[in-house]
Amino acid sequence: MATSSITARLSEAEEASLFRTLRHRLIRSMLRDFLQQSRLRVVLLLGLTALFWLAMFILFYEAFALLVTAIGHAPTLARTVHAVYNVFFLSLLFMVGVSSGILFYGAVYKSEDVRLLLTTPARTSTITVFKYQEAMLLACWGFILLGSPLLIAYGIVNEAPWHYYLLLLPFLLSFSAIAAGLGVAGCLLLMYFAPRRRLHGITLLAIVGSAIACYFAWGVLTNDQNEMLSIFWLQQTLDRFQLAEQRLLPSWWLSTGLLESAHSQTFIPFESLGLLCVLISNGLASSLFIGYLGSRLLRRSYGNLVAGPGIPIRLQTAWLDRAIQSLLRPLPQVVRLLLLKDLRLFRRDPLQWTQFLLFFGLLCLYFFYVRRFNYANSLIGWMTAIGFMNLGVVGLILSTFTTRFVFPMISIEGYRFWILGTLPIDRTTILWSKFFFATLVSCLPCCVLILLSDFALQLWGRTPVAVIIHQILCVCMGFALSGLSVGMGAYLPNLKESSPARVAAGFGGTLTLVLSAVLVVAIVLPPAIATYFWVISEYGSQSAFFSVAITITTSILISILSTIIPMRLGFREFRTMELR
Amino acid sequence: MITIENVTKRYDDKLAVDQLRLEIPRGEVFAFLGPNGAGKTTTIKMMVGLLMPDEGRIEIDGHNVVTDPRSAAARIGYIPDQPHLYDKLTGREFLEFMAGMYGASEAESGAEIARQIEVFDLTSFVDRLSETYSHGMKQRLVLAAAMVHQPQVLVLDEPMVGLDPQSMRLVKDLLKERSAAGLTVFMSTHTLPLAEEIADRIGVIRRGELQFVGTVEELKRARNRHEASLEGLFLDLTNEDISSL
Repeated sequence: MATSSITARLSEAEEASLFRTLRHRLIRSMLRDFLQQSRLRVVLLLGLTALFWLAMFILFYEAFALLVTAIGHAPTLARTVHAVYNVFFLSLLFMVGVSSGILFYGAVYKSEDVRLLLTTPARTSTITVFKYQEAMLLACWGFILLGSPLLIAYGIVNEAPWHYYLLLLPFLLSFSAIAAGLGVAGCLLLMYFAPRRRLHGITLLAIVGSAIACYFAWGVLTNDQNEMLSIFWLQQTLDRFQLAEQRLLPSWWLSTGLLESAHSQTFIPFESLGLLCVLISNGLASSLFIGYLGSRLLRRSYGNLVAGPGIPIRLQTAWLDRAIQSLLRPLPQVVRLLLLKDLRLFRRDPLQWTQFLLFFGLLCLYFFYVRRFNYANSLIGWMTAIGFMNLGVVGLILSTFTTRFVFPMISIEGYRFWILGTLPIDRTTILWSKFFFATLVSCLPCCVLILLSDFALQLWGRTPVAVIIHQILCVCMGFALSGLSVGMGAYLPNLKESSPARVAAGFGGTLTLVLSAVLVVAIVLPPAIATYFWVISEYGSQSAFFSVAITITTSILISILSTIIPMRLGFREFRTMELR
Repeated sequence: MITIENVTKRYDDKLAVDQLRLEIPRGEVFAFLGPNGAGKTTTIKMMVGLLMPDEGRIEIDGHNVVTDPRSAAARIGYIPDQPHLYDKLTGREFLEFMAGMYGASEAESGAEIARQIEVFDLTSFVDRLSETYSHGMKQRLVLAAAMVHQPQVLVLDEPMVGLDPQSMRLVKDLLKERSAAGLTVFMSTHTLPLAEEIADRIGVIRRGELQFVGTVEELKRARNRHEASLEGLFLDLTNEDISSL
């Protein structure tokens, strides 16, 4: 009795303070764990993050410097940057919102601690806000990592005053709070009203996102291609971006506030501060609104999810399994079963395939854009260079795909490792099956995309040898990146983490991403340069031909080595891997 | 059927299992008892190949689990303490996967799977994704998956956790029936009445060291407590150090 009366006396502020203490302790122990890792690992992780930031900063700095030189006309330049910022931050509003919603779903409806917290006298509003803040912090670090080099580069190129840099973080954080609030509110409402239809909800969201992306892309694509990159084309394109310039959008408050601060002539940027106040007050209101929604919806939505009938497998999808089984028939039974299992798990997890579609959907859009240009009178050397650039882009996107999806495949077996670990099969078979799976899903779409790109560039008719080289290099990249990701995934697994995204964001994932990017450059760049010179010599130069042959052979060798070495490392680790 | 000889396992500085020796013949139900952290799960994980012994040797039907793991694994059915499954597979797909991995053809596995579904009463949920299962449902599915390749040795880590009384009865009857037909059962459990009811012999482990191996009657005689229950004997045996302080 005494205990319950003490608990009942906790005010909202006291309860929030308890949760804050809990968070501080969790963060402290997480940091301690991180620093207790090998020093090399910590230094490498921090170094790679710094390197990524620096690379982004240089890229944005050069882009802004080019924009200033190319456009020259100050009002047009200002309008262009404003329009680009609006579109960029609107996209990030959507992305941070979706990420927060997904993270909140995982942290609330799939976690053990909320199950426990809901049995305590803690207010559901406090639990919801606690989890909302957690989701926001996890979702916005990527946003800040991507947004800060862009904004700092802009400030330096435009000689922005000191307060611009001082206001950056408050602007970004308050914007993140609103974006995360929208995502979390969407998740709560979805789980309350349609817990059994959450898959449909995610699909709907993906469609809405794609429709918005298509709208903007269409704005660029439908311009008159003959006047591409002219001032009229630019004007026309900016007009198409007006949807992102709605003044009620938080992305508009953010971009306008930052640009006002960057170009402010006064010591105190009043307009910018005003917009910051709007963002902060809306961010705080988001938190209050989430607390209110949580108090009304959390317990019921949690119950709705746990109760109710399970989701039966739809019979319509059985044909797909049968088709895959027939395709895999020539493989040994064990490999076939492992592949089929991985394909089923991938197909039934919307978080996995929606991101896969997004990756390759964006590439298709890009190639469609490339096709809009008129190449009939272009120089063959220029077209060859664009072809190889497209190959590089596909390779880099493939490297993010293999790091995000293939690298965590061993780690996410984690608690389920007892299933594979106790089977009467050689453990190397498990790794080989993952390798085949990764190679299959990497090579097929990439080869098709590159073929599409070459078709769009009209390369087949004018320099078919380049098309063949592209296909060879595409297969090389598929093998190398799959081998690297599977091997490193087995060599540096994180069996305690169930989220593939978190596994990919860890040390092993970051290292694999960097090595993959280096690998893509090493495979594509030397043959690209050699082929370019061979093509512009109109296939007449013997030395250029030999360069092409040597560089392609080298790429094939690199691909073989980067498949074998990580796979051997992975085999060695995986054979003796223990599950405590 | 199961030979454990001088097996030692350390986690960093902590000695989890120390010079363990056990011999379990074919058709015996052996219950492995001990307080939390005594080394039961570590021993089981070494038997099924999830952990490697630092010293010593474990053989299943004459096959060393370290040097010949595939032959050893082919003879074992394993039920872990936490039945983590592939959430996005249905129970039936999981059973098909497991049967196939043990080399059964589709025709062979189809009939056996149907039999196990009936035995463990899985029909009402076997075609739903396993993410929707309760703990007890998962446990029943894992039991069915462990039996689907007709193993010679069944290794169970806390088999009764999460099961309802009917399922418990089913498992007890099944273990008795199969052991009579030659199946060797090695189970760790905290459910002492279960051990008392179905085990032919028990082993008690504490802080990695084997304290006792034999029948319950032998334990009573050894402790000179002829009227005591297994619970009383177990507490007596495992609290010895504390009471002597």
